[in-house]
Amino acid sequence: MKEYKLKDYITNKGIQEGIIFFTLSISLILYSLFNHYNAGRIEWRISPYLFPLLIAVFILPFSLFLLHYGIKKIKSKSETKDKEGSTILKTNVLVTVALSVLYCYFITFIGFVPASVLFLASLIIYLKEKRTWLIALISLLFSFSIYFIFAVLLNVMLP
Amino acid sequence: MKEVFSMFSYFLNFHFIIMVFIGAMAGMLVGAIPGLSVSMATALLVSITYTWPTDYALATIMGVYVVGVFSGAISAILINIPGAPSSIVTTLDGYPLARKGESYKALKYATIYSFIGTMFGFAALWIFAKPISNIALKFTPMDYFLLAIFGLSTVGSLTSKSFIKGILSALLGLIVSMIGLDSVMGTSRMTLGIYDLKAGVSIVPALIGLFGFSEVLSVISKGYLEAEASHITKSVIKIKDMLKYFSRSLYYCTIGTLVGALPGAGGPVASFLAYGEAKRIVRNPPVPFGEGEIEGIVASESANNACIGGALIPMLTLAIPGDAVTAIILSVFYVHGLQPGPMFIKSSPEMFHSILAGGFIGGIFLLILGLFIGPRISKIITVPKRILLPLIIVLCVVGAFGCNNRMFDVYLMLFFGTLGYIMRMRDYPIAPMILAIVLGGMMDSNFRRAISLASSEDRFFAALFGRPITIILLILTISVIISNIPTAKKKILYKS
Repeated sequence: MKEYKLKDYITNKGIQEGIIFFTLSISLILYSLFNHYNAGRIEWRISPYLFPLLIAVFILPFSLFLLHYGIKKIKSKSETKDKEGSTILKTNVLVTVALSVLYCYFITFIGFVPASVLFLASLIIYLKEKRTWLIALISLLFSFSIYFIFAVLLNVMLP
Repeated sequence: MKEVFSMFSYFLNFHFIIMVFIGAMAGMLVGAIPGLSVSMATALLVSITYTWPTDYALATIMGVYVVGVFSGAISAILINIPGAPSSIVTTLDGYPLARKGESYKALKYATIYSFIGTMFGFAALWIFAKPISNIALKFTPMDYFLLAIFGLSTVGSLTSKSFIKGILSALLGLIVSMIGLDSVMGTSRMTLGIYDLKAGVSIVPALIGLFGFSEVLSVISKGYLEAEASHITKSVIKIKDMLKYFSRSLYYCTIGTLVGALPGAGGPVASFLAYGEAKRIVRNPPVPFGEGEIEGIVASESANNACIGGALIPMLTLAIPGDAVTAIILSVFYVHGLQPGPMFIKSSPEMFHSILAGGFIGGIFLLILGLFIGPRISKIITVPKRILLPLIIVLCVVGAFGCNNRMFDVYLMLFFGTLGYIMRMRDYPIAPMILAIVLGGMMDSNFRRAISLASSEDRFFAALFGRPITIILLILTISVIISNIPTAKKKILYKS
């Protein structure tokens, strides 16, 4: 009889997603029940926790199906390969998210235009654009144009 | 006859036409630029047009609304980011066509059928305002709830290879929509102690994150950062070919107008339903749906633009907005001292006619701008992705901040963008989640209202499901769900 390693289960997408949705469902059921009974004498028909409970109950069978599907895939050895691409490309995504978070963080300190210029220049450089004049031109022109159109012409608040 | 003359008198009013044109140009830009929404532009106009004469204010807003809804299709076709929720479906076939180098053709069909949809919607508003609002008045809370479930299950089945993943995406969206103060009792739910979440998750940051930022991450993760090779090449499309879809487009327009007339179910639901119908009617399309079938663009664009006229019906006759933009237009009415409601058409016929004229003239500008300016905006795809993507992120930040002027929404946008990216990588469709976020609040309040009303009756289930409209909606919903159960689906495929 074939033995299945723990790694097979941990790396299986169906099982991963099944566990996430199962945990979400159980947490939401507990949250709804706990808060409903703590809220005092509110009938279920008008309770604010009725609809979240209903959603959680619906998620439960679907999460079990995902788990079942994942186990079935492991046993039939037909798990498809990860489509997320190479490590370099995954790193690109992580760097983009990190730069975006830093950009939003710095906007509040140094203002929209300087933060946008720095963000645009750094991300365009990271994505391997080599023409320095183009990087400088786009970063400056775009940031000032956005500022002019929104803040000056339309009186829209910018971050 | 007097009504006709009153409406057409605006066609000779030069100032009125200029106001519609200004609105149309603004709508073209905000709709085409990812991260900027028609509702945001309309909201801005409320403050700008405060001191204007009411008919000019309405003319500008109609221009933005009509052309903005259409131009969402431009970014949907060219860069796979819908400019508005109602253009989500257009990405399904529009973007694959653009990838094949046929973006000019896709844009032309989108323009023509958006124009037809707009004209149909406003004609319907003119003719059927009263009868349709009478039907919508008969809807009970349970009907609204079932209609939303029907919309979500249809979307779940249409946008993913796996129905379960589509439904789970919708359920996730419903959870997000529950965050914040509950509309019936005012109780704070699922805020995790975060003060900014008390007001709930705004739709705009969620939409920008799920469609804009996640698309950027998705493109970066695939590593295609060079300029798109497919340039826009103008091609001659015969009028005969163009109008091949006309008769069926009237059916999609009817769906759009009817769905638009139902509060809460706006452009996204209309275009999804029309797309579903197109898939059902056209059994053997020349190109499979989702891979660049023109019928998909025709269905989506006819329905979402026809929805505009439909959405104005309950807004004008019942003072119930059909979607976010009509909700903002409602505030324009109040700012200008107008009172929409059952008596509006009788008491302010000139305002009703200015809205109609604004819509019709806006439709004409849609056609002109779509045919002549639309393809020029398409040059955006020739910009290398390594330059375009960072610019889109900045626009996403500006758009997310613009809805409530708070940085929290920008962080929410980043969160939803990352979540959307993970979902895309794992084949979970994004559209059901967005639709669920939009409809969640309405579903929650109507469900509880329906249960409360029925529990006071002797026969609980008869009170809930006993009405003909409810029975029809229930049958439709159950049939969509059953037809997507794997065993049933196999049987249907086997039979066909």
